[in-house]
Amino acid sequence: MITYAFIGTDKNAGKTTAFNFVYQALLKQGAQEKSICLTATGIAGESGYRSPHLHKPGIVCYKGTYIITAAQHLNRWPGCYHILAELNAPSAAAPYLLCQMHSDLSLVLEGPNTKADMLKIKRVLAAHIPDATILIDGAVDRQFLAHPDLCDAFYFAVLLSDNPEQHRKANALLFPLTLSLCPPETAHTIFQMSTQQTSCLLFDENQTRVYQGTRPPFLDAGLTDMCLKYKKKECLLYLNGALSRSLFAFLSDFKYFTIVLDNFTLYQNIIADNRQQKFLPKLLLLHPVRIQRIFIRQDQSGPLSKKNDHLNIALPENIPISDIYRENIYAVNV
Amino acid sequence: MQLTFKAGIFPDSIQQDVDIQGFLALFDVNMPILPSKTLKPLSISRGRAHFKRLTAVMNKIVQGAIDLDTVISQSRKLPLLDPLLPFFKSQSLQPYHLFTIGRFIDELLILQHFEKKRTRTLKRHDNIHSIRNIIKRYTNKRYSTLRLSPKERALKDEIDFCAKLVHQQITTYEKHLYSETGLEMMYPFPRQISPADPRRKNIEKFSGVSVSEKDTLLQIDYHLPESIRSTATKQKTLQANFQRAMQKKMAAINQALYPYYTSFHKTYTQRRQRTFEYIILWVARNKNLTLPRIHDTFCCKFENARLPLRNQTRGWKHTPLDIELKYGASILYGANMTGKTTVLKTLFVHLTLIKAGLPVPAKSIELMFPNSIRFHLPSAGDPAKRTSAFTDELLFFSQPISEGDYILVDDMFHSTHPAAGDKLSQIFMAAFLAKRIFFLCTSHYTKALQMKGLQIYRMKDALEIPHEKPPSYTDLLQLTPYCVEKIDRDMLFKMAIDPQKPLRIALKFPLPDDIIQRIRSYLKE
Repeated sequence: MITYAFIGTDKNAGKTTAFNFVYQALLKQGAQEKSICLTATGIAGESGYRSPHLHKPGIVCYKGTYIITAAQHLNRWPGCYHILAELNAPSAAAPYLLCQMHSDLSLVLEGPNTKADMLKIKRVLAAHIPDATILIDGAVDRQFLAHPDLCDAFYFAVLLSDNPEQHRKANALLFPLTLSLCPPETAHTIFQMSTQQTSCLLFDENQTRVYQGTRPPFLDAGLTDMCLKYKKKECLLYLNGALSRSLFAFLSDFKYFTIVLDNFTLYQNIIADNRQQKFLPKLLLLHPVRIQRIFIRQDQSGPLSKKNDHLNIALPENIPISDIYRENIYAVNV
Repeated sequence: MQLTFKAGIFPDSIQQDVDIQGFLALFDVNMPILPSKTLKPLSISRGRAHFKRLTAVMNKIVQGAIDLDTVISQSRKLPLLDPLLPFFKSQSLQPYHLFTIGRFIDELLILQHFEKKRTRTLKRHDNIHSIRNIIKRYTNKRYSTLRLSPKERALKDEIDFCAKLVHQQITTYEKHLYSETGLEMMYPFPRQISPADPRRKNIEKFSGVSVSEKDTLLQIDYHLPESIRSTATKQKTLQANFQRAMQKKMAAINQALYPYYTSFHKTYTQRRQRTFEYIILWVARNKNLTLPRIHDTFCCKFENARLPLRNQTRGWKHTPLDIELKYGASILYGANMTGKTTVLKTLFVHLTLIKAGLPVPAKSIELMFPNSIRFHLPSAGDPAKRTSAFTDELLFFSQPISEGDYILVDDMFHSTHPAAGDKLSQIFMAAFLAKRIFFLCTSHYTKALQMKGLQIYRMKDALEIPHEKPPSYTDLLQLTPYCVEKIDRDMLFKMAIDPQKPLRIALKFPLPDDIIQRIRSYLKE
């Protein structure tokens, strides 16, 4: 079972468009409908919604494809699908159904909004359709999808715009993709020392663990106290909780520190505000960012290049980039 | 199954050292049909019936007539139906509800087969079979999709044909577009090209797309040929007809099922209760808990009753409780730190768990099912309610008392002047002597202790503390047996109560030097 998630920088960044595109492209490249499963975090494919400029695309689910959606979105179509399982995620208001389509239908996909619920659903899927390729249309800010337990790889939808707010969000999402991985021996130490509950680890200059926290790091007074104590030493700080605005500001002048983020989603959007502020610690990642492709939607004219200098956006190297709406220099090969 | 107590049943003062949440977590068994339950006190009749049923089923389990593990495992397959029952009642069941109900009935019938030796399941369940027959009649593939009539099938085939046709027409169209313009497009995504694109002329000539200027680019949108649009329109019309037909079918299914709603609801409710009982028995068996033996007569006997403590793992010593109470008034006395309050807490916790229908950590419990359980621990009063410790206690005793109540009071009337407290204790206990209740208090008042007719209990003492070389505080804790013994009034007079012992215990604490000196001087005198 392979899982791909679609993450976007903003509303109308083109997540669902990219989702539809990849779904259709997979079919065109010879994938069988019955080996594809579509779902979403939050709601995707609502055709009634209109943004100021764009029609929100619906999702056409073809005959044979598996889908997971909230039961109410299928009420209008009895006889056009059959149910494989009812997925009662504990925090779900309505049950989700795993179905196989009997007809081509444009449907709203609605799936679980939490990591725990999504993991539970993946376990059910593994029992029913172990060889499927799962496409998850991720809502904005559902970056829990990036966890290695949930997704094998991602498609990013990035809105490139002159609008400062959208520009800020795009930058915030793209920046952590440029971070390097921590050395293997550091990763090994972190894996050995951490448990599922670990939210942070602090190692001194001798690689001795001096602090382990289980609270969200930005709320952990014990962590900040220990950081201050070791401020002048070459320490390694592992964070498995958000590098939030306050934590970013607190750590910004810890020049001897190396900070290892568990995964790129911990570098939160909000800290993009602080990017003007110098951040002196060295920032690394524990888990690699597994991106299949970046889909960009250009809300302004101008040539597409790896360095959009006029927008001051650094698109990461070595990651394929496509604009579905434009003929571009990069071949689209999903 | 996540168990919680209704708010206010366990006072905060109890929960500080008694791990109620930890005890309830023992019942945290994955059971979709019963994800959670709020425990409430059972009435005497319901409580008696509850434990009678549990004991009967436990006997069958012990005899091998029911395999509890199999029954629990099968019960886990029963889906939760609470969300769909309102739809059933209002005749608005949806297709996925039929799937859930059908699956519930299938799994229930298997479960009933496993528990067939349980007397009450021998009742016939015609409603279940009738509902299943109706659902089977209208569905296919084990209730997972609606069964279509030939007419509906023909309509659906026509829709599918249209969808396929649209798909083919679009593919042909895209190929044609590519051959005419060199533009590779994928429906429904538009394209943007440079105005200087050499293909521009051909694209503008091609009638199947519309070209417009967007900023400094040209946007190419689909302008589908009439043939594709008419097929798509036909598909939509057919889909609307199909939806109407399916709505009619669902209305007919709801109408056919509705007469069975009440009996189905009853079956489901009973099944949830039975699942709760199975979980209780399963946990009781696996975690060494005991079902109380409920008597119709006044009795209360605890053997090896353990208190689920928060700090058990830190090497705290906890001695299980053995005690037998008679109805009327009882008093428990003993030196400080011998465990009097723990006895009351153990009784309160066990009685409250039993009142809620749960098994308890004990070797055996026999009792009359409690009418109500009340426990008073000394308080510091409540400034918000403008009550003092003494008025709190008086308010506690102001509540009406009924037959079968269990009333536990720690340090009775120690909140006031000792002489008055002693007298008040005697007055209340004299009134309780003749009542058909279980009253137990702890007290240091000697006159109250000597009242006629009282049941007297004493905490066994540590070995007499030697005057010359007294043990340390930690040794003292280890030496204390924390056991209750019942004594009669004659024995009470023979047993010397050592009034100096609390002073010697006080010497074990890091009190100021001048205080220690004064205590020592007093003891020498």
